[in-house]
Amino acid sequence: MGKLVLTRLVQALVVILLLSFAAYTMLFTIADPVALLAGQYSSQEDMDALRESLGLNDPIYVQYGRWLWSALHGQFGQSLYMKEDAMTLIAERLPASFLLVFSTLALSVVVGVSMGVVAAVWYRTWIDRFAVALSVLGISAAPFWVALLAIYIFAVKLRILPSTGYGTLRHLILPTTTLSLMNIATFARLVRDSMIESLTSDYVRTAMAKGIKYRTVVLKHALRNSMIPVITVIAMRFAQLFAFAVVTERIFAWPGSGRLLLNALQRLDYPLVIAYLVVVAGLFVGANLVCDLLYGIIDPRIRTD
Amino acid sequence: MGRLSSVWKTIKRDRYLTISLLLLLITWALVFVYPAPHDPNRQRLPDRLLSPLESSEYPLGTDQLGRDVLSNLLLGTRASLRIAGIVVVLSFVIGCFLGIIAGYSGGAIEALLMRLVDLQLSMPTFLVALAGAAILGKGVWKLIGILVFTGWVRYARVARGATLSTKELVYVEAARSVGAGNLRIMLRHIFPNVAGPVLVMAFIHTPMVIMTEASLSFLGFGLPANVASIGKMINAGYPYLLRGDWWISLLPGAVLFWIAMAINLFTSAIRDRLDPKLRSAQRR
Repeated sequence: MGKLVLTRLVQALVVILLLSFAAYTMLFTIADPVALLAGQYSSQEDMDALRESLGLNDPIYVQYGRWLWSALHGQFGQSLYMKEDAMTLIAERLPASFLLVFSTLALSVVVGVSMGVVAAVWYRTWIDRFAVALSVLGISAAPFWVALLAIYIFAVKLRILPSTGYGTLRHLILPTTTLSLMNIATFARLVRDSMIESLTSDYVRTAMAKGIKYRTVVLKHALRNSMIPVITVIAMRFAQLFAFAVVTERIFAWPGSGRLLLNALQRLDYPLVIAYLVVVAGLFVGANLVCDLLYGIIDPRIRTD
Repeated sequence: MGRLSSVWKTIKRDRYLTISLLLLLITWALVFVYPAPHDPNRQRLPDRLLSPLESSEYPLGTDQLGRDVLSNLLLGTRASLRIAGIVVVLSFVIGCFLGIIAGYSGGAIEALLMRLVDLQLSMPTFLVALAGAAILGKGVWKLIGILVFTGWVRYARVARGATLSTKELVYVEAARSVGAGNLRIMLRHIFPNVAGPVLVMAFIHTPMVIMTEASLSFLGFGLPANVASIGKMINAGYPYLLRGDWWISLLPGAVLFWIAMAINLFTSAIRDRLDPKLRSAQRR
């Protein structure tokens, strides 16, 4: 347990180190934030002064070292435009992103897993075929197109849901459902395939032979064993959802951290971009850690000490 | 006669595969063979915002500047598919090459390569692509480079796994004992076993690449201004969608959906043929 956490922590540190270094080098060798920051009409002297004041004239390794040193002290630098601590800016926006990502994840898991179980139980009937067809459709639909389609139908034509905004449950419905669709499809297919394998295995036959109710066998025995691959994918999807939420947040004018990132990328606001990448890398490793621990709870055979 | 009936038998036995193959062919023909009726960049303000079927000259309507939606759609889809094709082929070659070498040689090379793969997989692909596209700036080859950079790792992982399970097989040992070199063994004996699962990966990867490219272009970080692009069309049509002019945004997205669906149907039909592990699981 302690060893597992330690491994994951080391992994997080390595990822963050390499990622920040790569982003830093790329930002400084390829893209120049000064021209954008100073504006179109500024003189060469102004730009030189700005460059000097930001410390951009030092060699890259000096700059990176400086960033790393303050990052180790919890300081990830100030946003170039908003003149505020980058981490504070992100932290302010994170609750909205978390709300979107977690409600999407919850909806996808509940609907996707139930769909998968139903399809597996009625394997090779029209119910199964229907579920598989739905999941192929769901996997093929780009989330941002589904979002626009939903806005057109429910906000523009039927006028029953708001197209943009934040705050009430009604505002949450469209972003969550449109972002969920792809995950529901993925989870359903995964659970179905995994359940079909479980339902044909020996322990299920034994349980049935002992006279346990079919419903109990499906939900307690087979489903539990089918969840291992599903949990891996859920953990991976968590961080991916954060990335795709960037598009959803943009479409629905959702005040999350994704929109902050988009603005930062457009203006090459590098402290903010790198801080955001660090946050996502941390979340990804955290999700993997939770997933490792869940394995142990679901399947005692892979419990690690 | 005999040949024809055997073709018919195959079609009857594997309806799913045949239908999806037909879908793919029709899509390909519509996109690449059907000529664009207008210059996609020609603007004509009197004809702006015509809805589909409103004018016989513009079957799918016009956008806010009077450009023909159908022509833009065709050229944009071609660009999308070409980019996706190049990305998938490059990722396939690089990933396969490195994956087989890693699996075959083992030791330090394998450890190094697999750490690299783990590292890349520990960040969401879309975010890396987004940050890369923003930093590098717009450009077709830059975009291709970014998508290959984020894509090859999946192939490498699959190729390494398949190599590990074949390299201990008896016929590989037999080939080695009669004096076949490493290169020959990798090409002639290991690659054919690796190709199936990696090909499945390529089919899964293709719609993902198309969607990622469209999403990046939609956000304004993908293709440059002079290339027709589905993502950019969707983005440009968004304000008009809110007014009720749906076709500029929704039609390009529908084309993306259609193509992804055709590929996904084909993938799930061909999957159990190319991946023996899946075949045995599904037959049970």
